[in-house]
Amino acid sequence: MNTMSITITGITKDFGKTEVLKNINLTVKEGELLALLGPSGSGKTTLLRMIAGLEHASKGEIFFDGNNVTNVNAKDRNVGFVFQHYALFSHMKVKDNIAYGLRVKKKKDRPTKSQIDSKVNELLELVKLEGLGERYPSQLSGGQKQRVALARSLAIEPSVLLLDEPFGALDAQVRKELRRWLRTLHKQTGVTTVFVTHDQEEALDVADQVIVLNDGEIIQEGTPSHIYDSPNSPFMYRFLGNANELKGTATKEGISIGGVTLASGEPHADGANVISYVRPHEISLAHASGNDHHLEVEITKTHPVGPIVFIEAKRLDGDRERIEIELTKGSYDNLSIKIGDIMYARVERFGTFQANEYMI
Amino acid sequence: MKRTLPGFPLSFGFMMFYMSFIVFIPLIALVWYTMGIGWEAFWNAIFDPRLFAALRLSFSASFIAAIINGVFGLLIAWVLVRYDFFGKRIMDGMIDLPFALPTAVAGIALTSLYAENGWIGSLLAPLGIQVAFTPIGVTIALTFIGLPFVVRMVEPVLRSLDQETEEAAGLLGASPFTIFKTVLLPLLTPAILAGMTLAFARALGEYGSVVFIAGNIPMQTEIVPLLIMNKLEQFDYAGATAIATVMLALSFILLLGANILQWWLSRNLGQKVVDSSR
Repeated sequence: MNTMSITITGITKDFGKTEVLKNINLTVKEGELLALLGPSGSGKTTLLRMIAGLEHASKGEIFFDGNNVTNVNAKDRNVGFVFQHYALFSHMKVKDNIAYGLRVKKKKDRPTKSQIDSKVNELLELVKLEGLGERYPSQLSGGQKQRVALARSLAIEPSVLLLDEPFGALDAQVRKELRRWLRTLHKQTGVTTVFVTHDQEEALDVADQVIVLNDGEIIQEGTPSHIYDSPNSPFMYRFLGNANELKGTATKEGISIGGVTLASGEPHADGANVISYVRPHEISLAHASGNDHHLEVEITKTHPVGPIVFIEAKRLDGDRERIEIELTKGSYDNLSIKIGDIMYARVERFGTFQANEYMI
Repeated sequence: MKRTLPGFPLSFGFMMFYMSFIVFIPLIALVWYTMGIGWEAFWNAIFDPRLFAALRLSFSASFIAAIINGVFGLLIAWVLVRYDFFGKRIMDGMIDLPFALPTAVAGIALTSLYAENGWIGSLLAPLGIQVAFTPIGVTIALTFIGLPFVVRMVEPVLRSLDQETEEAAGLLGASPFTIFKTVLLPLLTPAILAGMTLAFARALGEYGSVVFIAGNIPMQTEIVPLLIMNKLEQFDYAGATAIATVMLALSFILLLGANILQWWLSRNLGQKVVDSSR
């Protein structure tokens, strides 16, 4: 397959007064699997539809392999597109759905009947739907429908493959299965793929690269582990799961929170009000105070869910704020934690931001 | 399948009762009366070249009118559903006017427009086209009264179609015309046919708007309902019912055929449209 890179420069889109996308620049390398991640209304779907040619930018340009496609019609861009709600042709059999893109080609480019048939069979095999070619879409499950949609979009050997919340309409079990399968499929086909999702777990699980959008702007981009390990803003901490917010002050030694000072590598102006973000599972608990900066807390609630125990505790220093801690079942049992225990919480890892950065 | 709403026996009983009073009993009375006049009187009334000409005109003009309404009704529904423009609501309301207007009023208006000295007739006359008092005039009148059917049948179906399906076809390389032909038309066909069937049925029975513009020239522009009226005016009730019975039988056969076609199409297309949108 002749796959292509995508380059987007200075894309801006406004619907009247509201700016949906603000000066977006990004590159998707050839053969990469990229996730556009963001909450609803972040502009991620609009951006994807723009790459497909279904929406047009107010400003900026889009290139496929260095060719400017900004003004090329959707039908001539040769992109594969998969919609959240499948958008299958309900009056056509599965095999006719898959063959559609080949049958509507101009006569001189159109494969012969037998070539189309063998291509359809090949794709049915690829999406593991052998033997279902004669069915109608209404006779398939959601997961099967989405695989037909994928096969249909791959039939035209697209330069890039775009997926708009492809698993959004499926139940959790099928979703997990399909996203692993998408990852394998991407390895097999090697086609440059961009998919949109609001599910951070999905993005981190499937993609090579993740771009996080909010309010029409790129907040952070990088590999899944980079995104998860080094969130660059309070938004990222809040968006990628839960985080405790600890108010503190920057000092020469580090960040002073309540009675303790945490060593911080990041420079902050001395005396500045800061907020440190700590993920619940990046806090450990001990019954005795150690010498390395332990916050004193009182356990108020414990809630075991399978292998994880969710713990709520109240800080006993100045702020008396509630914090959330997640322990594995094993360490919870070892510590034999009871409600009302006074314990010492150690922050393993945190990110600190100037307080005014997030205040609106 | 267990349902919560009133069951089959009750609703079926009510349907039969209602249909009997409104449709079956009057029609049976008609056939009964016709049988009472005896075979000879019946054949005499039927084997009349004037009736044959009228039947041919009624069915062919109604059929052509239904086709015209099928094409333009689809177009109007398309514009009303897919575009926003100034005066859309007013336009939407005007679609139903042919239903509300007394048909005689429509007939007189059409005749004065299309007569040789009317606004449109006077433009067509130099081209050698005569509309009023010809089969063309009959077809125009029947087209007028059948307009709302296709529009109103197609509108809701078109509105319920998922635009993403069309986008998907476009992204696969289909041109707008191909999308229309391969994606939209198959999904709309059952509704278009249903609308055309209604328009056809309505046109067959139409009297008021046609008699003025037709001119009622024997063997040329007489429609069947006119012949029935003529017989009634001459107190030839037997003849009138005989013609009516023939008309009834032919209409029933055609409408049954159209309904079977629609039923078959919606089983093969429509049902799937509904299912997959769940």
